Amino acid sequence: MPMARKNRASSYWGGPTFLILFLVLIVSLIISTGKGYIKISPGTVVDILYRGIIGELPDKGTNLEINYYVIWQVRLPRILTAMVVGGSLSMAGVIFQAILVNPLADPYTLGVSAGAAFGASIALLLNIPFLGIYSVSIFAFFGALLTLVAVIFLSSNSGDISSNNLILSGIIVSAILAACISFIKYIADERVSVIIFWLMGSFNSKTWIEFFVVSISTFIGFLISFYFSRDINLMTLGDRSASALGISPSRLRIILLITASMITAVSVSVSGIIGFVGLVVPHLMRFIIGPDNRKLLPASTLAGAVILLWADTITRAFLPREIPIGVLTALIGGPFFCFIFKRRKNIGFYG
Amino acid sequence: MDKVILTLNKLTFNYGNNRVLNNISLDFEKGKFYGVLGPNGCGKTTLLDIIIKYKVPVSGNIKIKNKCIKEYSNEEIAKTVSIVPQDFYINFPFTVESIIWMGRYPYIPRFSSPGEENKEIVDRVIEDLELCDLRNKLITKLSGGEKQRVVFARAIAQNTPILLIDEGTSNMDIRHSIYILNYVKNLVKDYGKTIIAVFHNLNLASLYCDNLVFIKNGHIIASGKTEKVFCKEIIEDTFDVKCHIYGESSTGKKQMIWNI
Repeated sequence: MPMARKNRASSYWGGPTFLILFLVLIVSLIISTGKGYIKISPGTVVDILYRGIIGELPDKGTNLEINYYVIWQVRLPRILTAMVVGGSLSMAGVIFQAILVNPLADPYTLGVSAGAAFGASIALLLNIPFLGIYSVSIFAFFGALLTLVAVIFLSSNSGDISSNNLILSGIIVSAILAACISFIKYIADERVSVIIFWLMGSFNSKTWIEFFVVSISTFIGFLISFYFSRDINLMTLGDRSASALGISPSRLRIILLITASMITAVSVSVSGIIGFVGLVVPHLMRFIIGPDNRKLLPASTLAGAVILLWADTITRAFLPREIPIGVLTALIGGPFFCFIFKRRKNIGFYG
Repeated sequence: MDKVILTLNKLTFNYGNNRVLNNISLDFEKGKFYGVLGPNGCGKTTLLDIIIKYKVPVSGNIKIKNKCIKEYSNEEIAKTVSIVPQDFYINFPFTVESIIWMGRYPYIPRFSSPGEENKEIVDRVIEDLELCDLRNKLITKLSGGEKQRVVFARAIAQNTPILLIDEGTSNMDIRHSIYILNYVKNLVKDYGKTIIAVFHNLNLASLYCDNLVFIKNGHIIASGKTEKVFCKEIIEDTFDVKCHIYGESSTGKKQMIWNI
């Protein structure tokens, strides 16, 4: 066994993991905010953040004033959005893996991403103006929502929702939507590049409004799923045992399915499709603190925030040219996941 | 009729158009070990599913301690009935100890610490079922029989008046099977628990059960005291295979062999 896991239920708040993760997140936020075309020292960043919070504007015409606007109007919305999206995708990953009782599930397994992509593609193709700059996000959100409804409808069988039915329905619906998206790209002519670019995900020019929308959905999603976190543990024993331990597996599955899909839908509609975060982060955290969802949910949320923040910082500030974040996360997350997957037998994960 | 703890009254259950249970009525008494026997697909597991409220019968009702099962909340059911399921596959790397802790969840309010009493119960179950060596191991790294012992321990930790066992020793070696069946037999004797166990091994059923229920095609073929119903005619009728009943073993229990 690689690391002794003390899973005494009595100490589930224990361990310094959360404190460390939280500190890492704060430090990352400060460092990352200073990076970019205009370099700002961490001390200045803290000063500017403090001034912003207490509402004290710097003197006009100074360097500080420029930095102030760079940070508060350009960088922070983007960085914070990346953090929250990373947290919400990781949280959704934990939930999907638990309710589908399948460690290989991720927020996109049930086709939520395909639905969002389809909605966004339509909005981009038709270039709908009446909803302003948010039309793509709104279409993406409703695309994801309709997909979820279709998947639940397909998989429900006289009131019961089994995980296998859900996964199969998700695959079917995703395949159909993928074909639809291909068709839209085919007829899109010169707009095809816009669609492709959106699908690869980006945090470029995110605003405070988008940050608040994702934050609210993530916060509500976290409250709901954390409330049920102990019940989620029981799902691992199978529906029959879970039932005898006082929960209704089908009802719990529906509640969490809707919760996780909603937060995924909001995230995807804000930032496009960012893969692998929701798959890899739960695995990584399960290594470190074990599979108890009471710890895994908050830890994965924090870790997801740190990881996507850094992924976005790399593409924004360190690479000579910005590459789509979805490509970057897949390039880093993919090989890492191969490594875990190949070693799973040795470390006792997943049978 | 105070001894009756569980009453099944005219239970009927369908999967689609397929009738799995047909008008089943049975009484189970407190402090007895019941065996449920029958061929594959005869409705044994469905019967247990209905008792834990996992499935709802098309018609008929169930009473536990003279109270209709519909009036039980999920939490009350969890404190009354536990199950050792047939399927013991666990997909996530929980430690053995944390799996057994799950049996105590119904007694611990959400977000509160478990308390000494629950710790003692978990420790005792781990010790009683000889799981000390496996305690901190990951469930995903254990063999089939070991996993089954852990899942069994989890159900025992739930400490309910009624324990349902669905082929709960199918993957264990004979020493562990007998050890664990002796253990639960003692729970029946010493603590007045009621056990309803599905068996495929008829000889084990004969050794341990006070009463047997034979089910075939959703009907009860026979039910009654083991020494009465463990006989050639009933077994052959249930399984459609010839058999031979022999001797009374030193314990006074009958055993059988298949006659093929």
